[in-house]
Amino acid sequence: MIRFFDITENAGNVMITLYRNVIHMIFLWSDTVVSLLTVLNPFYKGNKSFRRQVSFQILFTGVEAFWLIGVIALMCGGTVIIQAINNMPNFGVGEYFGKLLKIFVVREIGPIVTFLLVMGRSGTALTAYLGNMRVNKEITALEAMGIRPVDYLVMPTFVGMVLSMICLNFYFAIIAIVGGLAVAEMTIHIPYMIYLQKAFASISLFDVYFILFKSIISGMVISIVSCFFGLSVNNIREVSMVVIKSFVVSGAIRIVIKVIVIAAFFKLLFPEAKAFFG
Amino acid sequence: MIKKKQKIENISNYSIEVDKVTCTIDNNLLCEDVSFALMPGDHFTILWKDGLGKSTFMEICTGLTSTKYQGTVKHYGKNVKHYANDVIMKLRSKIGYVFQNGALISNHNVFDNIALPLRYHSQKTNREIDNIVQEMIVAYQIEDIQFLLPEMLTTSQSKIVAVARALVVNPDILFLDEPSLGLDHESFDFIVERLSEFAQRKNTITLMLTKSLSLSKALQFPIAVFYNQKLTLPKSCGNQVSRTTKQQQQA
Repeated sequence: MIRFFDITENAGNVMITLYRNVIHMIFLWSDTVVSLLTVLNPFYKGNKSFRRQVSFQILFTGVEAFWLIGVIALMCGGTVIIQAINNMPNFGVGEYFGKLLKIFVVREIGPIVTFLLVMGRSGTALTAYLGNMRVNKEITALEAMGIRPVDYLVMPTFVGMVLSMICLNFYFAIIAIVGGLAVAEMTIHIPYMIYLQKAFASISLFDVYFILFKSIISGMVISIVSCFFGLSVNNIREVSMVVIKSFVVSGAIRIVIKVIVIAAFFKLLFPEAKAFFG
Repeated sequence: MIKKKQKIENISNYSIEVDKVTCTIDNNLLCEDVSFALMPGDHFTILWKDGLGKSTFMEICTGLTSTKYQGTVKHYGKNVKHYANDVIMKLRSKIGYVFQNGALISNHNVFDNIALPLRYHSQKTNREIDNIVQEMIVAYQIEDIQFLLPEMLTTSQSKIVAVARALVVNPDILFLDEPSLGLDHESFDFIVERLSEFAQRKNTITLMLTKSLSLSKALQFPIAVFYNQKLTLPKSCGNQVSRTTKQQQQA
């Protein structure tokens, strides 16, 4: 029989764990930023593995994911463009094609799909890798050599992930528009150059900053959450569990950050909505 | 008062002090009231049976674990729990640690594994570091495996690489956790030779935990035996380690 006390006790434990994890993640993030600033100091001569580790992370997260992201971007872009071209004139909003593409593909679909793919591909792999390192005492070995895991593992991952996310997001946006229009041209024979011009004419510098901001946030969330869960493993059985946890938690954190940012800067981010909100 | 002062003066000479360490994990008592102290020039073997917390005790001695025990562990006269994180990391740059399983970094090849502590701590250029590592690789006769990943190495090769990685920084203190586990005869002799060479260097300290009597005999370090959760120093052990430990116990 479930007692009321059990429910409250479990809920309390969950809340305490959640609070502790969030605090630890914030500490890990701040440690990582401090470590990054230390390495960027021109007078600092230690940690010569930094560039090598960052290159490795960019290779794994960015370069090796190029084909996957490219194909997905092509399919997403093609689908959205074909649907938009077919259906928008029916509602009498055919002239807003460029804006729809900008808001839907560049601002929303691109960052979220890239986030999910990178999290699913690289974030989970990173968690499993760090978890195995912990189990095999490689992390302890680093500490025994006087090497802080944050400096050697987390910070290069953080930098590599943020840089990769920036590149992948821009790559996704370009492939989705250019490639998507090409797919549409091949299937429903649209005037390619006119639509391409419409699409790029609607994209402003603000959108570039928007993608940049989203990429940085996504890169930070993926790297910090994956590293946090990877480093918190105690035994081999936990590895598979923390992989799933890191995926779910990073998605949740990204949504929370998005809601907070939208709530705080709504009017600044969406000047088009002024008409509705005065 | 005088005794107290003498005690403080004595203790400040020790590089490693383990004082009345009692460790219990999951209600299992691993060790009770273990005390010893090592000063530069001391080399010490503890014979310890498998599965009785050897690696945990070694982690306590190195300061890698600070929560699982009662008692005090001091490095260079200061409790390891009271060191700032940055300071203890700097101290560890002059400490070598050979793990029971080698604990080589799995996505680095042998060369990068050996270069790892130098690349992080050393002020030398990358070219100088590469030269040092290359010399080390030649000295350890592992040229043919230098670009292999740890998963492709045999146990003996992993152990040799682990010893090379620990000694590449010219450590002042060397911790050895079961260094002879899984070694073939040739590698055993090779590692004994390297460890003996290290012991002959001036002002170095070695603390070795092993179950292997043959290794203990080959290295000829003073031997203490861990039995029934207690550390017992044999009567025949008339060397500096036992003297310093006895002095400390008397004090």
